Amino acid sequence: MAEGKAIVFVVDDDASVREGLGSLIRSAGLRVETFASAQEFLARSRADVPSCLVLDVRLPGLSGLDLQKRMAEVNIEIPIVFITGHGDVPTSVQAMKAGAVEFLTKPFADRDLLDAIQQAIKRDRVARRQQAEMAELYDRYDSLTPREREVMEWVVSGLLNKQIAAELGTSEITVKVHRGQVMQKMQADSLASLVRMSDKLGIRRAKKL
Amino acid sequence: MPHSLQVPSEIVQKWQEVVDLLAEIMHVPSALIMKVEPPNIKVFVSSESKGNPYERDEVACLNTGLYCETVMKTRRPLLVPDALADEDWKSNPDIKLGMISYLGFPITWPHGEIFGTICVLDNKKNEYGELYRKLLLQYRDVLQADLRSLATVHAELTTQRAHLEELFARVPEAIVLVDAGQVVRANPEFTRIFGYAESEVLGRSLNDLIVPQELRAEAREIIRGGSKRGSLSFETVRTRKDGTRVPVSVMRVPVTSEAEGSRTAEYAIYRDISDRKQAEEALRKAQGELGHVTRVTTLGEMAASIAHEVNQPLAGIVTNANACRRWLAGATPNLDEAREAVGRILRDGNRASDVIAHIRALVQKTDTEKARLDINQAVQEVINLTQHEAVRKGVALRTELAGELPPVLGDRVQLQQVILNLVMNGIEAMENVTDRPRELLIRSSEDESDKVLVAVQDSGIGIDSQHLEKIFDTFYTTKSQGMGMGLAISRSIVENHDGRLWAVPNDGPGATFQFTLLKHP
Repeated sequence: MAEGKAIVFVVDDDASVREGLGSLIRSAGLRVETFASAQEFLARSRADVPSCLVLDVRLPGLSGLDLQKRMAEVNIEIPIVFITGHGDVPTSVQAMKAGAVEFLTKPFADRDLLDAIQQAIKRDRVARRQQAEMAELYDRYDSLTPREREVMEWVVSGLLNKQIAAELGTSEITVKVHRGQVMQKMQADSLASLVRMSDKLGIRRAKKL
Repeated sequence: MPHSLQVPSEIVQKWQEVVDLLAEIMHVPSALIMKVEPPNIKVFVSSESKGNPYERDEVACLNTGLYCETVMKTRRPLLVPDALADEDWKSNPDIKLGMISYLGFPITWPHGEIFGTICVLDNKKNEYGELYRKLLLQYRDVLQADLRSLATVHAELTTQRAHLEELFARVPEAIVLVDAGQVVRANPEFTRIFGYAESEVLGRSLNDLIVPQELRAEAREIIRGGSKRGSLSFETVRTRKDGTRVPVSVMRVPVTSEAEGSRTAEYAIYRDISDRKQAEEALRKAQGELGHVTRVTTLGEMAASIAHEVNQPLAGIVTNANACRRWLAGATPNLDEAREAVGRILRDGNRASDVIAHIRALVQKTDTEKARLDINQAVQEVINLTQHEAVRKGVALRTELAGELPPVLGDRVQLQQVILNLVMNGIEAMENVTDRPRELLIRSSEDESDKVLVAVQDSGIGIDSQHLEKIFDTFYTTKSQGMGMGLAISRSIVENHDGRLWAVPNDGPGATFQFTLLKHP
């Protein structure tokens, strides 16, 4: 998984503010890409690295809030720090409810912005890590045979090998072999960790009839 | 009561022909229609025949043993062929008149009440044969039919009159019947509206009673003009008994009588329209105030949008300055980045300055409408606008306005914007004052140099003497929510009026903002 250098996207239609923000963020040692409109931001392909978006509320065309909604619709999960020229309460509430990290009113102290950016990147890192873990888990689960998945369901339901064998109409030895395969393929070092994995995967535990 | 009904003359005339015919056909000296009028009985109609001793309207007392009295009492026909040979009748009063035979039938009203009799009398013995009796009975029925139609018409008239009376008494309009210029009738609503009882106005002229002195000639003119066209209506003012005025709508309807040409009577109908007039007045006032508030607040809104325009370059300046400082702060300052940031700061500074120049141009633009105005009135209107806010913030607004102030030349809305700004600033300056009364004093006076001065004095936090001029600079603000625009714009406005706006610290707590304006030449 690529854990490259974090990148900050800036969308603001005011050239001076946009360039100032770019400069400020670069001075904190972060990579910056700036955009003059929401459409421009959506059109550009983005590097697969931890990132955050510094977004002006009032934009020509697609507004900041519109962009936030659009991103949610197409599963672009980049944390957003909103900036606005006039901080009205209803807009900020709406933005924060939709998951924004911070809502800053211009002009703001550089520390406030940089702190918000750091927090947003951290949040993205955690989210990306969780996503990567999930993807890995799905890969492992996909490598199980149908029979092994069946056995896994019974195992995480707490049944003994003997009981599983009875349920499946097979021998205890066979169940034991399947169970070994499951533990190995899922890279589970204990029954407890296998149960946790099945929870994350949302596997329904089998009920004994 | 039917017996009080007047039998109209045309019917009496017809009845006269009836008795004349009867007397002639039956060869008797007397054919009569008698009418009871307790305690008497009256000769109502008497035949004009030879030897008839009875005259019309002759009255006899009842209880004297008259033939007719018996007929009425028994309600039955009576035949006395020869009274002299009859024990019961030989001493009755009619014998003295020579009438010794009698045939009579009772006449009744439709509801059974007795009207009188129809009878024939003879000075000789008379049997009155079957045909004669039938004839008399027939005529009796004709008479009763006349009475029936008379009673019916009367009942209808009575009902109609009762309805009219009720309408007259209850209608929510004052109705006065005037004949030959004199009041003949007036209803209770007239008393309610004008305070005069009906008895006080009868026989008098409406013009003298309720038309205000200055409107009398006009009222006469209107009525004269109107009487040619028939009815007329108009709205005007009338005077009550107590001298107060009442707005009314008036309608004058001539009474059309059969005798055309002599149209002297008319109804005057008044409706009290005080409520409507009051509502109209309130509406007009509210609209006027609304229009004014709109104009004053539009300037306020303009300031809000200007604020946004100015905030944009300000945000750029702050952001770039922050960046610049960071580039310079490191162990090895990045001068290129810093230089670029400073370039952007300069650019934004100029941008902000352009916005301000634009605002100044706007304020000084030609849409100032300078006119002669009373500054006290302008102050009063601003106070009306801000009273609510003052009460909300616990501030007492007080005025000391000079009585005789010369008018000034100015744009009312712009000057009120200045006063409004000063008043609101004053109210805000006292927001955190808790140890003394929050009082805002607005004064106006004429100073020695031909100028009108308006001063707004607060008891708020006051101003450091070294800031007395600075506060008029654009963007200088001491308020957490302020943009630093109000005083700068206010000063521009006053200067555009060739006046001066400045601040002085009070001897006590707070500050006084004042401006002077030139007197209207």
